[in-house]
Order: sequence, then C-alpha cells, then structure tokens
Amino acid sequence: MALAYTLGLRALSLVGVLFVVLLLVVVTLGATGFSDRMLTAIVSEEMRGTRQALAETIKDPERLEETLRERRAELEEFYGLDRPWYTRLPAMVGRVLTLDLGAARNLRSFDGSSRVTDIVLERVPYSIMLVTTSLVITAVIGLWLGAKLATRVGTRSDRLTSYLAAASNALPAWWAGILLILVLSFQLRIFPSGGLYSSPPPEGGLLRFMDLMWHAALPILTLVLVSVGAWTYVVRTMLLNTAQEFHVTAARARGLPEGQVMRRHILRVAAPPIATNIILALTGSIGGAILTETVFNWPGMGRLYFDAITTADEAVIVALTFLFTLMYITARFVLEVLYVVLDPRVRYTAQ
Amino acid sequence: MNGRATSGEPLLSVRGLRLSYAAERGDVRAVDGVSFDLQAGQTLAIVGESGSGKTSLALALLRLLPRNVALLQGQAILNGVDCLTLSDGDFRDRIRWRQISMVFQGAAESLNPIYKVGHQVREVLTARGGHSRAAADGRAKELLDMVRLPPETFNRYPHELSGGMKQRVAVASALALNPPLILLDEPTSALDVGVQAQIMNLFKRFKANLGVASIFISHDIALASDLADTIGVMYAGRIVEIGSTEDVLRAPSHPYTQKLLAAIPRLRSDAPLEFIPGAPPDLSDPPSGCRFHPRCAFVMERCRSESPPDLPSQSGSAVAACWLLDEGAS
Repeated sequence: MALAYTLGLRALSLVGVLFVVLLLVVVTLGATGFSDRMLTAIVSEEMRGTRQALAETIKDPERLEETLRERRAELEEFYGLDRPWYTRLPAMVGRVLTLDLGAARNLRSFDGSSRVTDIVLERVPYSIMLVTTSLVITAVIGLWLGAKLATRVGTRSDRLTSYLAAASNALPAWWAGILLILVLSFQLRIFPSGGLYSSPPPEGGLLRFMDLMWHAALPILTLVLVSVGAWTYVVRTMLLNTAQEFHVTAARARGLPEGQVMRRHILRVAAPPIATNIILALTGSIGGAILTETVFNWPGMGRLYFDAITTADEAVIVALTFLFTLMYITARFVLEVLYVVLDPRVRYTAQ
Repeated sequence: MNGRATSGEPLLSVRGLRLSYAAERGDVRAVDGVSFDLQAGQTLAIVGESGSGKTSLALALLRLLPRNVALLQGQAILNGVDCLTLSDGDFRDRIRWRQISMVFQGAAESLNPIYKVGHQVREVLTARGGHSRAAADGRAKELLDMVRLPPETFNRYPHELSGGMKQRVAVASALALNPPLILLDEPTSALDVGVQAQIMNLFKRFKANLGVASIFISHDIALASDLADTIGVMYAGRIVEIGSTEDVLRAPSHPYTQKLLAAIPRLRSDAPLEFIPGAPPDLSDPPSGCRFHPRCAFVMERCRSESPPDLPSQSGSAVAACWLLDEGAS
C-alpha cells in the first residue's frame, strides 16, 4: 500500500498549500494596513450618518460627543478594529476553514442575503455557463486542430495556424470584448452588449433560457477567441513531442494503420500532460473571468472577486480565496490519482 | 513458408540503391549505389563506421525514411517484387513487417511506455495478422517464450524490464508475422557483453530453426562474423568489399577492411592496436575518386580521380572496390 501512503502524503502537502495561501492573504490584507484603513473608512462613514441622526435628538454637545465616542467604540469592536489585524484576520480564516463562510459586509445576493454562501452559490452557475462553456469549446477545437497540425508540421496550413495562434494569444480579452460589442452589438445589432437578460425578460422557461444564451454568446465568443490559439499550439507541441519519440516510428515500422498510431501511440502517450491542462483549466473556469465578466456586465465569480476587492469586503475576499484554493488543491489531487491510472511509469516509492 | 524464394534465386536483390537527404550544406549522399544479393535463410552483415550509411540502407529497405529525403532510387527486389516502386499503401499492407521486419538499435525506445509488453506484441498480430484477440494473446505468449522470456513478462510494462529483456521483446515482435527477412540494426550495441552473447545466440537459433534471413548491421566486424554468411563492408555510402565471411576475414582485400580487422583487440598481443587515421568523409561533399583515398596508406594517383569498380579479390568469392586489385591484372 505504498501507493496509498504516498497519495496520502501528497494530500497532506496540498492541505499545506491551502494554509500557506490563506496565511498570505491574511498578511497581505493585514500587514500592509489595507484592512485597518478600509475598516476605519467604513466606521467613519457610518459615524457621519450617526452624528447627523443623533444631533436631532441630543442637544447637549458634551453628551452628544460622549454618545458618539461610545457609538464609535461599539462599531470598532464590531469590525474588530479594537484588536490588531493578526488576531482579527486569523479568526476569520479559522471560521472559513470550518466551511462557515460567514457574512459579507457590503456585498449582497440578488435577493438581499448577506451570507457569503448564498452570494457564491448564486454566482457560480453564471460563471460555469460562461467560462466553462467557452473552455469546453476551446478545448475541443484545440485538441482537434492541434492533433491535425501535429500530423502536418511545416505545411502552409500549419504555419498559418501558428501565426493565428500567436495573434489569438496576444489579444487582450477586454479589448477583443469591446471590439466585438462595437461590431456585433452596436453596428450589426446581432447580439446584446451585456447583462443576463433582455428587459423585460421573456416569459416561460425555454424562452428565458434562450434569452440567457443569446446574452452569453458574445462573452463566450470573446473567451474562445483569446484562448483557442494557445490551446491549439500547446496541444500541437505536446503531440509533436510524442510523435517524435522513437516508439512511434517503431509502431509505423510494424505497419500499424495511421489512425491506430495516432490514437494508441501518440494521443494516448501524450494524454497525461493534456489531461493536466484540461483539469486545471476546468477548475479555474469556475473561478470566472474577471475582465470578460466586467466588460459584459456578467455577474459571475470573477466579477464577485473584483467587487469584493474594490469594496474591501474582507469576508468575501478571504472566503473566495479559500474556495479557489480548495478547488485548486482538489484538482491537483485528482490529477495525482489520474496520473497513476494514465501513466504506468509513475511509480511512487514509499520513503 | 509460402512465397519464399527457391534456392539459387535470391530472396532479396538490391541494385544501385541510392538515398540522399536534403540538408542546408547540400544533399547528403547516405547510400550511394549499393548492390547485393541475399539468399533465403542467410545472414548478410553490413559493417562500417558510424555515418557510413548502414542504418540508412536498412531504413530505405523498410521505407521508414524521414521527410527530408531528396533522392531514393534503385531496386530492392524481394521475392520478385520491387519494394521501392510499390505504393505506400501496398508496401505497408504487403511488405512491411510481413516480409521485412526490423529490430532497432534502441530497444528501450522502440516500446510504447504506456502499454504492457504482451499487448504491444499482440497489437501487431491483431492489426496485421488477422488474429482474434484471444488467438493473438496465445501467439504473443508463444513468441515471448521463443525469445526465452518468462510468461509473466506478458503483463509487465517496458520500464519494469532490463535492456536485454526489452531487446528480446523487440525480437519477439519482429518475429510475430513470420517474415522471411529481419533487419537487425545494431541490435546489441546498447547491451553489455553477457547479454549481447545471449541475444546473438537467440539470432543463431532463429536462423537455424526458423530459416529467417537477416541483414545484421554493426560496427563490430568480429561480432558480425559470428552470425554472418556474407560480410559487406560499407564506407561513405558504398560497399567497398563484400564476400563470404571466411574470405573477407581471412584475406581482406580492401585497405579499409584490413584496417578494420587490425583494430580488433587480440588476447595477449604486444602489437599496438591499429587505427584508421583521419575521419570519415563529409557525405555532402565526398572525396573524388575512391572515397577512402585521403585515409588510405596505399593511395595511388589513380585513386584520386577514378572511382574503382568492384574487382574480384585473390581469395575467390569476394569483390572489393580497390585499384590495388587491378594492378595484378594489368
């Protein structure tokens, strides 16, 4: 059971990664004074409102100041400003680790809930719909095209596609998005420029869904456009590396049909690194795409992270960082297991 | 074996085989007019230095050429069929592995790392031999047994085997479709001497028991002589001397063959080992006349300008391309 032992060891080190990431978030938010500054600003903002409200009822200036001081102390205690960051933030991390994501300070779900779990669960489907869909499209095109190019290296179609791949990889997502909006939305009026639904949204489940898909088309197109080049090129290079290994020549020497050589001796051997790419990208896609979601005003996970940072919603920042890291280490562990299945050469030694 | 040549008519007859690769500094003439006959069941050894074109010769016969081939001409007639003029599809269906198989130099790299050894031997049987999976399994086990591998090897992965075991698997796979001819390209170069001897014994057994003909490619003339009926010495893309193993070893006619033999270490000999001065020529710009003349101790004026034809040697069966043999006649 050396295998179980080593896999256990891997799992343990991945949990270590989770702790380190959370530690880094706490230090980044706390030691830079970002957390204290933002919280003080929030308290001051609230105090301004409180002062106006209290000034109506309390006429004695000394009592007013006294009450305001008490009120400020209460608020500071509420926000944890009476304690230094290194006791306040770790407490938040400790709670998050028990899967209690807590409550957001500023951000709300569509129906007003401040529970981070509610907010996240509401956003995840939208990110999957957008980013995961475009990833699946990208991966399918990339695998198909990459495999095709790997068999005709150096031909004109190979060189042309390589140039296009570089161009696609160089396209910034936000710029491509804006360009598509300009052309396909404002000029040609084929697709809407952003948002989830038309207003008013159409009645009926199917119509509503179609409307949503219609709104998703442009951002999906943007994401595919900017990532398909890199995918194609990476797949092509990986397959090419394998295709140049000697055992492929040996397989051809045995007169095996070309399709079988491609499937069993090239694709299958190159599968582990390609599977790594796919699984890590799939996991990452749940985290959303910050720029594209912002350009198309799409309320996904990327936008949520972005909003959490701009509104200094620490609870959401810590919770999302935790979730993203958790997904990442889970994917990594799945890969560890998958590698044992896919590649018999991966033999772990129990040391 | 059906389709095997009757005695007298050679199994394989190669005539004027030329192969060039395109390179930036000009075409590299790896094989430059090679001709020989091979009788069924016999072994021809092709010996020579690295870069003399031995492996290119084998790859040309199996038509496993890289993309940058600039020229391939000549004939390679196997059982009456010219292997070089068949269409790619025909060659693959009729000749490749069925009539000519090959054991490569790097056995370790010739196995797919992902599949079990038995499955790789089975693959060629199901894909090419028309065996059912079960029948192929049985035949694969039989083949592994023939190369003296224990039965459990069937379920092993390549990385679990030693170099010698992997080479045996490669041999088993080469024998799978009962080809009349096997190309052995430095099949033991990567192995240590003990394992090398075992593999050589394996080849000898197949030659005697199965009647498989082979072309044994090696830089080691002593090793080659252990198996070969005929030895061809290759230099700079040409066969400079070819004849029965006995004749070539006992009375080498070509100065290059003489030097090769003098370079073999002998037990308790005080004479220093000889070596051939200079380096093998650049095949994109080979020397004029006899290609060996810049390194030859007996070089004459004629050697620099005229390429020598194949001339009979004193020993009888052998022929060598050297002007020295012409002097006696004139």
